[in-house]
Amino acid sequence: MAMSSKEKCLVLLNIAKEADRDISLMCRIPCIYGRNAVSCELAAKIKEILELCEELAASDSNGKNIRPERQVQTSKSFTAEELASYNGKNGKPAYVAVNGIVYDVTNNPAWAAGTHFGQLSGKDLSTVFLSCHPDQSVLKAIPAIGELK
Amino acid sequence: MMESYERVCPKYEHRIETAKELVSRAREKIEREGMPEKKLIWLELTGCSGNIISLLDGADPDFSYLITAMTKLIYNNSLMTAEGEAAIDAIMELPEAGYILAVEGAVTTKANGMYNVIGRWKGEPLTALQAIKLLGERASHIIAVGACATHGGVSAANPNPSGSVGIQRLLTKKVIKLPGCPCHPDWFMGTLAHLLLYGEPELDEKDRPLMFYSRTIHERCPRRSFFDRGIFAEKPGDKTCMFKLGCRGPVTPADCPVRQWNDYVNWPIKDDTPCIGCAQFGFPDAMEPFISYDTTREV
Repeated sequence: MAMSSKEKCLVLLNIAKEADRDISLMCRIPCIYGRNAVSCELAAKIKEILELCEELAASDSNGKNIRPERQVQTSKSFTAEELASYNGKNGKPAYVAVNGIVYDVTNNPAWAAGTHFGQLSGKDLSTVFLSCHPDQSVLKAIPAIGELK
Repeated sequence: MMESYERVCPKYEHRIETAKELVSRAREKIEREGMPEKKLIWLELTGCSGNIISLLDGADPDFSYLITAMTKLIYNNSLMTAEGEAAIDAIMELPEAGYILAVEGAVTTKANGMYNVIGRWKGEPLTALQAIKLLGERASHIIAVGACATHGGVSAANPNPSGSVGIQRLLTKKVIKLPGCPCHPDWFMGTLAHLLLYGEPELDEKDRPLMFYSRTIHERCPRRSFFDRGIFAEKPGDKTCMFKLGCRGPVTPADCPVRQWNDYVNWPIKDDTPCIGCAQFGFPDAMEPFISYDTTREV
């Protein structure tokens, strides 16, 4: 059952309290491995907070949730040929297209050397992406910088 | 040489002792309860034998401990003195669930498996394909050791002329998967000890034990702060983050940063070379290029 706005606020409050405790913990942990582990947990909590805030902000006046469309940061359009030049080589950024939206994976840790599990950047990877990530939630964390013509 | 944080961090020391603690408990249980030693069969199929070599390099616990205190190793073609059909006969007559089966190497499927003959049985060549089918389903537990047994690995690298596959493709029984090229001796010893003590360890969605494969290398990398601040190495030997050289730490779940290798003294990133993702599914093809100088940084 979908949560009401009040329920979401309560969940947000709890996550924020846990995140606050994580931050205090990080200041006390002497070990880099421990700090790294806590920072990963903290990153996941921040992501949850952002998602809940987005849902709350998108609620209409009746409290219904309107799923926001993926926000594209610029209005730039790419042809397939233009996209192909952004292959993460020779100083060029690494871009990939999924479902008509172009994403910048240049600094995405999973795209070292502009490649990801054998997939090359500078391409439309819609089909292979959906076969590996059916829920598409991973796209939320990647900057969307344009659209594929 | 140990870094300063390696000397003082109790969590770091604790991690190294996971396998040792489990093995020690298994031995105590065997001695206390008179539990008979479980038979262990180690099959080397289509591979390089790198995993048995890695296991022989195990430090604490070591291999002799494994075969004298924990299990009764009854078959390993690299180590046993028996040969020919006599060696094979010893394992073909075992009762159902009478042994744990550890397998390294993939299984070739083309030409009816004749690309890999591991011995002779009843006067005929015994292929890897026949052996895994005959022995796999009757084992109490199956452990795929290393990249090739887990998912095909190097043996199945493109274009895969022998039709090599991971062993799960040929078995209906669940296979516990320990990817790695090779598999760390602790990963195998700890998993085996857990099986003897408590049964199947907690596994992730790809049947990897969470106690060894739950976090990516990136999450525990000592160079993580360089990544977060965008300070990147330009060549192997540099002391900063090697993301721009193609490091696969972010996509590889393994505890190499804390456990390290070769008596826990070193691992690739500590030695200033990027991770090549050898413990992730799809290695080597999906992890290529292992190193790249032509990347998102201008050269």
